[in-house]
Amino acid sequence: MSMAKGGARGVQSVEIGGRLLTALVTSRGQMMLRNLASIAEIAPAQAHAYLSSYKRAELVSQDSATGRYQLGPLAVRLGIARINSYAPLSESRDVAVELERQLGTMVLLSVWAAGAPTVIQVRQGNYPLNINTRPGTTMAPTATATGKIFCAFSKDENITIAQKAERKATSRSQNGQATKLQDFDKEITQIQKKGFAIADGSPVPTVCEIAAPIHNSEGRVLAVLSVLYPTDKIHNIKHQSLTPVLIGKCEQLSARFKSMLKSDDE
Amino acid sequence: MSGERERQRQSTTEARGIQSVEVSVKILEAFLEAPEPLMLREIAEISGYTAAQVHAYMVSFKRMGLVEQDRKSGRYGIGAAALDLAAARLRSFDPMHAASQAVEALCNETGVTVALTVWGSFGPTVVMVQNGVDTLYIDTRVGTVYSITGTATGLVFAAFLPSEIIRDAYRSEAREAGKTMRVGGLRPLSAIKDEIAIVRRRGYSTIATPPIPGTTVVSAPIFDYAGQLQMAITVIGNVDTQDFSEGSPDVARLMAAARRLSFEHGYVAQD
Repeated sequence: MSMAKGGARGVQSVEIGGRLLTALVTSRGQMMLRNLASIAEIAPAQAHAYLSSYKRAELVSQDSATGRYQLGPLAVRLGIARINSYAPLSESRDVAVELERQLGTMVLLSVWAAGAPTVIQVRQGNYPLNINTRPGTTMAPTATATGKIFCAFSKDENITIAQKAERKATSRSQNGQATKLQDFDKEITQIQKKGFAIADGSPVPTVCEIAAPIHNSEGRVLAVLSVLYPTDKIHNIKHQSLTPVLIGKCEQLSARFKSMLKSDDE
Repeated sequence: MSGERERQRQSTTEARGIQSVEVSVKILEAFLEAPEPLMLREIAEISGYTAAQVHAYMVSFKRMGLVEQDRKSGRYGIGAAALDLAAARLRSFDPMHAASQAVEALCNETGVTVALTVWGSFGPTVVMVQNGVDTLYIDTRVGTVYSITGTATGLVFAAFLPSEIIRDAYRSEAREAGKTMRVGGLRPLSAIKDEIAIVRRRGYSTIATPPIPGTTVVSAPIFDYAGQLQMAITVIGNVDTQDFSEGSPDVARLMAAARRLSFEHGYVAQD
């Protein structure tokens, strides 16, 4: 195994390559070789060799016109493989389908990925909502019910930092919906108490979203499940009927994942 | 002299680096089709490397979060970092930009007019056209809305979109009763059943009577990673000079372009 230096210590070049992949994950949009190399702390010539290998393997792509790099098609396939093979996520996805069938509403399943709440599953429900949400869509961390759940229940420091940054950005924005810092903190405390979040006619005026957390075996937020439905005359009644069903499903899953860990320990 | 040796040493390291990076991706690919976590031995079998080699890579992958190992079973599964990679790809990937490059390349390769169509509020809507070398008189420009049953492009959507969507869109198309600028005629949905079956089997569509006489048209679907139809890519040629028969080079070029675009969305055809 001449190519694999190190054995039990791992393969050094793979980990150097990993720094380039991380740089591509954290960058917003496509990147020039020079910038990528400097973020990954690798000499540009060496970075180029690594990127050429990743390109051949379709894990990285390069724009033929601009020469800029981004992650490639294989990245999406690896993400799908994660969802398919990691039982807590594939079970959560099945529950999203169940919930859609039971309630007839649009249902979203989101995880925290690449620095933001990211939709991994969309069920359209019986009546189409005029919103452009697809798997891969980023949910605004402080403006959506899904984002607020991450904010309220996640113990991950990075999540708090990302949300603080976004909150700062929105408080400067001109859309008149800026949330005052204090009000937002109050809302988060309430969400922690109630166990769910509602975004009523915001950020999209015609859509309501109720979201609740699914916890993993360690009590961290694994994913957020949310139901979406149109704001109409009876949407307040809907809040009351939909919320317990959503929370029930999320609690069931969380309890199941907790007991999976216990049986592991036995 | 020592400078030369240094350069040699560096370039060997680099080549080795490249090789192990490519090996690492091949090993990761073992997880693509696995419905559940794998034993070290299984990963070695699928990827074609020895268990010892694979193990060294697993150590690094675990450190990077790309792979997780179950404490109890010792099995390896793809890790949470894979979702970061996927999310970042989906955020930076611009389907229209990728499609515009593909449309331009296909037009240069074939010399015929190439159109890109998406599903809009009123049905199949042209969003991009690259004109071919033969100045055909055609009815396709950006903003053109095609009929579902009377155009090759419409048939692609009829074949690969959910049937409820097609049914609803067909109803509103029928209500227009020819009073709009929509291109292509209206046939009953029942009349295109057989044609749709052929489109699904062959993976592309043609139309016996195109809206403009004297043209020959073929259209192919572009799917996203979830297997949902995102766009159709359509070639339009002169029926007297252009060969778009099954197995013709230009149909093969169209299919290759469509498959490549689907692949860039993360889709891999199951065949």
